[in-house]
Amino acid sequence: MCKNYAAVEGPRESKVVLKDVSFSVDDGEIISIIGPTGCGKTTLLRIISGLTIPDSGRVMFNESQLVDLNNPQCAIVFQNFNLLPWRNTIGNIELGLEAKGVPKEERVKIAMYFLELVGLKGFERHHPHELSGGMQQRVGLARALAVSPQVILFDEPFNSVDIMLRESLQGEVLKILVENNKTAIFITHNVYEAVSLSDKIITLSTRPGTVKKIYTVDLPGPRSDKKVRSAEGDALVENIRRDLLEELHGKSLDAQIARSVE
Amino acid sequence: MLRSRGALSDSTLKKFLRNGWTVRVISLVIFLIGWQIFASSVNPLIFVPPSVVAKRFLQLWFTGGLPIQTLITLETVFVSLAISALIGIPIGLAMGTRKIVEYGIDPYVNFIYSLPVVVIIPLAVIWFGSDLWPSTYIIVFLHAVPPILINTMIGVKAMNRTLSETGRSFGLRGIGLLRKIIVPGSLPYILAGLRIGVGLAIIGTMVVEIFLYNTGLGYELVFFQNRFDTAAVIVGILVIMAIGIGCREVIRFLEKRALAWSVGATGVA
Repeated sequence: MCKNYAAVEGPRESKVVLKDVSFSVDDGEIISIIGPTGCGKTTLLRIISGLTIPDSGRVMFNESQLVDLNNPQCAIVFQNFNLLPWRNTIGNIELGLEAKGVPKEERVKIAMYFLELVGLKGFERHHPHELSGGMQQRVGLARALAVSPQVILFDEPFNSVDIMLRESLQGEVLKILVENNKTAIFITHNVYEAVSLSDKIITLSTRPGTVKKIYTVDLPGPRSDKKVRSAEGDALVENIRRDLLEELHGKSLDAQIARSVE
Repeated sequence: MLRSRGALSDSTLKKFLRNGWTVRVISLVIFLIGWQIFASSVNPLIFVPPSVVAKRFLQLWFTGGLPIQTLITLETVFVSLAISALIGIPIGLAMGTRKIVEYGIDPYVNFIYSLPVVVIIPLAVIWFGSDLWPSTYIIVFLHAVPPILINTMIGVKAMNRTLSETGRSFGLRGIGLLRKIIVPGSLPYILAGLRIGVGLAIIGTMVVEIFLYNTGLGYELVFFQNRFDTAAVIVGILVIMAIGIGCREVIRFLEKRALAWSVGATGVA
């Protein structure tokens, strides 16, 4: 059982970004955190990963272990991939293993395994600038998987991927997560994405971000894009969307935000 | 027919002239011819044509002390550049990663940068007198360290900050973070700093050789000036120029080799 508990944050310019955020994630569960732009989603992800230290509150793993950046329990898949441009694919996947002090030979073996898992066999020696956005994100995923983290955090992972490839990449990522029984937290503002990927969806309110509602996604059939296209799926998407629109109600509904809720 | 052939040769000529190297070579040939014609008509004590310079160069290179003096100069340039890099890069890295170090050190960097370093010579002579070694290195360091240091610092700052965060999120700390993320990430700027630094190290070396030394190419200039050997002075200038071009090109080559992944930083002087 893996439990995350975070609460209250407000460091920058003494503005409270997050307030009373508390939720738990079970082992092997995939959840999405969704909310309007600027609600503190990314801050929450940084707190969970340990990159940002909250003013108060804690992130717990297995009810006892505190988040420890020297020996991270989480691995992040970043929106902009954040691959090291001077390293080739294998070198990038090895990064987290190097930090853990895994010997070279074993590193390469592990990296090769995950490279194959994300479908990039044959691209070992390619550098990021020679790969498409979707391929770069696969490398990002392999890098995260390679350190066998307790939780994989996804920070809007499909945003920078070509829209044509987005759905198929989503499906593949989901498949890999489910088959390897990984626990994952997705940060997103895409309702469809959240519903098709997750077991549980947490909606956040506008700043200061608080947990607005927690939805359990209990749709028939395997987790995939298809289930969204059922009546229940439609209803769920509609509910979450209404939630988010409600958050924005009374505030300037500028076009960008309206689009992001789509 | 005639007209179309004319148009063809026109466009060939245009293509020919658009090639950078053809234009450069033509420009240089015109320059040399102009120099030859002009210099042949003035007092050879004052100015000499390139043909005489070339002859004097061959003499000095094969029967004179030019190779040895060149080596002496190169040694000073490279030893001081290496030490300048060993001083400038770590300080630049520290300044780029820690605000407190940056604010603590940047006033001095500004002072040195604003100073024509040659004015330090009288002070160096008072301090070290005829002991040339410390004066040499102080003068050359003051020239070469600031650009290396500043470029390194800017490189660290210009580096995608999210990359060091990525390293941190995977558990990299301290030296590991520096070695695996920060140094390779700022390498384009570090190398640009070295490229600018080598030019300034040559300037510093010339300053000390001209003012203090009795060896090296800088001293040769003064030596031949006193003998009104204009051709030899021009030979000296050209050799120094060649050293400058050579050093810059070597570093540029290293930059290209090491930074195939980067779009290329230009650096600041």
